[in-house]
Amino acid sequence: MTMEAIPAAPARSHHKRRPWRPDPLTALSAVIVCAVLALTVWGSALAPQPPMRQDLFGAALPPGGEHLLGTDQLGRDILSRTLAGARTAVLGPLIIALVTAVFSTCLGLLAGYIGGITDSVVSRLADVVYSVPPLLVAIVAVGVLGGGYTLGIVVLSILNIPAGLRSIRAAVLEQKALPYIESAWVIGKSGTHIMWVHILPNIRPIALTTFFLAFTYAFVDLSTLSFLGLGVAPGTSDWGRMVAESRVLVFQNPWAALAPLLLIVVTAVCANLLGESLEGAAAEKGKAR
Amino acid sequence: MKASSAHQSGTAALTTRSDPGSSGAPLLSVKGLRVATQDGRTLVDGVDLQVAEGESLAIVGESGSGKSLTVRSVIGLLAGGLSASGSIRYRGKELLGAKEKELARLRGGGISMVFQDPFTMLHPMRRCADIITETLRDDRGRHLRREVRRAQARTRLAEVGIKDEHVLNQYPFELSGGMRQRVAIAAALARDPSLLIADEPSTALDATTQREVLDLLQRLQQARGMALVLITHDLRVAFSVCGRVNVLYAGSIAEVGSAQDVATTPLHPYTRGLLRSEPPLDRKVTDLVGIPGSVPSPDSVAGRCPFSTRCTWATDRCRSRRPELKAAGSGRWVACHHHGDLGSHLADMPADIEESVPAPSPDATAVLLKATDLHVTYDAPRGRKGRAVHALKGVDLSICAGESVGIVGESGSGKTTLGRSIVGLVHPTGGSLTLGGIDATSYTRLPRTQRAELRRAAQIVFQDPYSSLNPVRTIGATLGEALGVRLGRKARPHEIEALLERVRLPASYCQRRPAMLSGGERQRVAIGRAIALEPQLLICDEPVSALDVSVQAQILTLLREIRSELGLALLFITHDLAVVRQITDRIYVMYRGEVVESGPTADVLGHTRHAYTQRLVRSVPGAATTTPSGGTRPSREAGEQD
Repeated sequence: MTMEAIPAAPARSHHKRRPWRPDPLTALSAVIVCAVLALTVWGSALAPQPPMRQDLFGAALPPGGEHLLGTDQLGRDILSRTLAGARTAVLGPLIIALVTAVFSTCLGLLAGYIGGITDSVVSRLADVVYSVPPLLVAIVAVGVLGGGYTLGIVVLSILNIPAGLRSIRAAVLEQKALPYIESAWVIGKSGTHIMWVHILPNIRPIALTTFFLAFTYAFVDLSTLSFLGLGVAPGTSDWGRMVAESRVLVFQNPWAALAPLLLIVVTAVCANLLGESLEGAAAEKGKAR
Repeated sequence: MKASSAHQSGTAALTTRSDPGSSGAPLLSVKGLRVATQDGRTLVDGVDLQVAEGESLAIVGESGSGKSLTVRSVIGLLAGGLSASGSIRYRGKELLGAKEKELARLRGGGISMVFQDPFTMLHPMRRCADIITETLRDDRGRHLRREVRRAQARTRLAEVGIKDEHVLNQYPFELSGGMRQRVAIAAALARDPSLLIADEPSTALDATTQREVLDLLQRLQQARGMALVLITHDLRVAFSVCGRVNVLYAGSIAEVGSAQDVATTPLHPYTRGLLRSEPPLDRKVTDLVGIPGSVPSPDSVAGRCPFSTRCTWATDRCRSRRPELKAAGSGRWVACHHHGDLGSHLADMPADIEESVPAPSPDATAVLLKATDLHVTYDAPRGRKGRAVHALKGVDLSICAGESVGIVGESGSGKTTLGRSIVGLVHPTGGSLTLGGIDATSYTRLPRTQRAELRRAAQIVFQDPYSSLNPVRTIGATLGEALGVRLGRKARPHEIEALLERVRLPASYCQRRPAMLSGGERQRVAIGRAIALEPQLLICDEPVSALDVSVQAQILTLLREIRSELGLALLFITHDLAVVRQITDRIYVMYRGEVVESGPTADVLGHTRHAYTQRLVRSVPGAATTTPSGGTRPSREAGEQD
């Protein structure tokens, strides 16, 4: 009897866990994103020349010789400024994305799982905030109050939360109705335990999406703020700011604007590709069948 | 109508002229059909079948047998990424590789199809009359005039047994599941096809409606002289509707024969196992398990007998060579190396259990659960007026310690709500509920200690094994969590392994995630999680209805064993009368939120008193045509065919 009741382990080779093997495009994106992240830490150290050193006699030089990418209108080395500019360009969006992802996940979990009044309050607040265009508010707030980069980060962090919150809440509602959540409740597990241990890992793909989407939006928005002269202080090497300051040089030394611009585009695209692939991998892992 | 002259007198006579391999001019002939995915996995591996004009053929198989893919290839409906090879001929014309335009002309007119789910099959924004006449054109391919279309729709509705003309103007969402399935059948027959394919047409319906739809299909098939291919997982359905049965296993054919022959004398060990796995309605049997394990993927059994991994009589020959489909008597075909020498084994059937009518124990101390006048009302959705649903309308129920009680009813009867309210997932709006001496009527108002006691009193196992386990956690973590609740500390590995052993799973499953387990194995884990708290009452809400027949029997056996090992009480909620017969001592029959009949199982099912219960018992496939067991009793008069 017992012998009969033990079923043979079914051959389901395609369900075996494999190490994460990204496709070439994802791998390339991952390498580029990592490189950009490394630049935010060591960018200034890697710069061949001090990024702030001016040389008015050597202004707007074309690429070559001492200056690999030439110089800008104040004679500052473009390569050094581009390397050093990664810090403000990437760090801000990273903070915004983290804050957005953490807050929208927590609030979405609470609103979705607890429901009732908590849900109503959180969701209505989110609706109100969602109706405000983030970049516009950031421009006005920074323009009126000053405060530049830091205020920009704060404003964009808050205004990006509702979008993620909504999708997280929807995902939580979907999970909450499944029997495995009900089973956990019936064996006597607390709401906090169910939210953290059972629901959170299963909505990880959505949380990842939120993070990467927020990063991309914030990256472009912050660069725009800098471009408009509202972000970092004048003179700071920052990609958005460099594009704005160097656009007059576009015929003497196109690299002055092109190098930071290319990095903005490439970073944004790679972050998106990587995010998509990670989401896919996370969703695959959470598949029920 | 058009084909009414070709009335079939019987289907048994057809069996000889339509066996695989024979010539003649079959309506549909499939040879060596293979269906594979893009990454090279085989799903259907060499299926041959023939359908003669006016014949009814059942294709029976469990999930993963490839039965749906086979017929979907015929009609050109394979999902993207799947490719079919081999040969499919309809009236001698090759369909595989034919132009989409030609296939489109054939669909509806030559071959038509009815699907499983009546709720998504019909266009939700069109009226039934339009749905039925959508494909109708006159001789020159023009749309018919409005009055003609209406008249057509009316006669066709009458043909599927709908006399009410209002239905013509109704939208599908206004109709019940059974009505929708009838409208779908009428639409499929609109252009008078010579072959109708029905893919599990009754599976999504309630028992009583199921019977009506199957009867309708059988009547239409015979009246029109149309060929019918019925896909089903249920042998009893196949036997009651079709003349000939094709048993599919892991992507290839195991056995072909007339319904009567296959029912009385199965030639393939798999068919025999399936027959034994089907619990009989009229009696309780000792041993339910017909087949151990679960259906393998066709690739994992390539080059050998696909059933050899689960067959009691498998030899080295079975494991090294694939048996071919060979003739075995008149109109019978079997793919088994040993079909000649297994005859006596295959006829051997499990013994009956003497059903002891449980002594009614009014002993108040032994009562574990008592529900008195229990009401549950679901509020209307916000913003909509007055559509509150009364799921339970005053239910009285009592369960004594160690007793096995069944609740039987169709969807909407409130049986699931009752189970869920016992564990606090639904809040009763009236009446009282006492569980293990604690008033469990309003769960949320109880202090923490009492709630913990209630957890130990009752646990629940849900229907869908695919969503009742957290997909990202290992089996060990899931079971460990439940054990931890009882022990008040982290569970040790050997304790988790002991629990796994209790539900007959190997200890190595600790490290696995649910995706690596089959449906039956997952249900074992779910049972393990529930009994980890050592409850006095285990509620099983349709625990086997999402499983294959052979696996279903294993889970029922496990529940029986666990019950006798742990002495726990069982509340078994199901729509399946045969299943409830096997596992319960006492049953309650529910209908529209009320208990209409209750008493000892054998009594209630044997001598039904309430009209609804009688209808329920009659609607079990095969109940009226043959004995409910479908001839699984060793009836010798048919004799051995080989």
